[in-house]
Amino acid sequence: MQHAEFRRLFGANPKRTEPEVLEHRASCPECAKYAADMQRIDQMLIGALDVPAPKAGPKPWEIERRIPWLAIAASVLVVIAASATLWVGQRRDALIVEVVKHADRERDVLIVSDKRVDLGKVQRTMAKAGAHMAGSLPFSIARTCKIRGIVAPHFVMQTSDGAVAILLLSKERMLTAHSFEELGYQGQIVPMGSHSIAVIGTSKAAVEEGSQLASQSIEWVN
Amino acid sequence: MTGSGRERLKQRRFEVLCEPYRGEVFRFSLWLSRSHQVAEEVVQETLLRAWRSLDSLKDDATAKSWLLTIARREHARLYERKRHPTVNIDELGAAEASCLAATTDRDPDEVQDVRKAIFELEEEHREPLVLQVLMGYSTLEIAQLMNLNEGAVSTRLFRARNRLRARLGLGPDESRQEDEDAAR
Repeated sequence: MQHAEFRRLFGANPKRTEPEVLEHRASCPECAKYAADMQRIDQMLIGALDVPAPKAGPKPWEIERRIPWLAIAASVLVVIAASATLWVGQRRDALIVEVVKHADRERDVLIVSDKRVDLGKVQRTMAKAGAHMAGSLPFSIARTCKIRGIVAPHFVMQTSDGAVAILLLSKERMLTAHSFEELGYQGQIVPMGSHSIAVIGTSKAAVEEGSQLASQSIEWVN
Repeated sequence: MTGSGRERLKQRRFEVLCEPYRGEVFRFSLWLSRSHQVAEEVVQETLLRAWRSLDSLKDDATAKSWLLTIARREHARLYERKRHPTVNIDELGAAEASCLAATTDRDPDEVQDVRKAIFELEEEHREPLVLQVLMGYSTLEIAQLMNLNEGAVSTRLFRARNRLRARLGLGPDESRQEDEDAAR
């Protein structure tokens, strides 16, 4: 037997006991050393490969019984999430219709004007909804109105692109800002913590400018 | 026989034929995947599939091979689905590290060195070695399980042991010399 053949055979399986293999091992010290290395490796492997395994686990029939319940639970969660999204969307859309209708009813003041309301009146009007001005904005109108039966200070602000109506909605909490188009008006509902403001105008640029300035300048007490 | 009676008989058959191999399926999967978490997933999926197709096991004596065949398939499927990254043995998770460090009645440092060396082997070398040494399979049985011929299995085993020999500092990797000679 050749050295290479012996090593291939013994390397693949150190438990070989064929007479010609054993004969070669006995006659060749180098191959005997190689064989001893291979057997030592196997001894080490036996100890190393025997890692601790979890003794028990769930029975497959138990898992199978759980699967339909998991599927039902997942379906219920999907339905709840979809319903919640739908409900939030419907509620928001209804609010948009109300604020737009309100602005439309008072469209006679939604005009470009040089008139300015003094800051004292602005602060008094805002205070009715629990808000105040942190700066000064070019308001031409400040009124106290109601939306959904709740006091909603109503301002008309002059922007570089025209007038916009700003309504303070102290009880309307929104998760995200929402832009809309309704009855020919452009608008945005801007969340401010647990309150919101509605900005309505006839120009998108005016609405964006009004939203940005108002959300920077209006602060809520609570 | 009633439906529940049949179910109980099937459960009994599963307990006798498959449940005793839960540990071996785990060890095989662990050495294949080198991930404790993947091994646990493979065991669960393997046993679930075995349960569902228990009627297709015609020869009870082949239960272990049958389970390991399912485990190999599940291992491949999990890797395909999750695209597990290659394991970097210097960044092993706590579960794998605890496996490497798990004590036996042998020299703990030696055991840890050997386990690390096994982790470093390529999968094509590691798998037949685990099947031969841990599962006690013959070259022919390994060839059948891995869909290879016996010669290919022998070559992989020869290379696996020689790689370990070099990594453990026992001697040179003679299979590399042979590979280089064959390439010339």
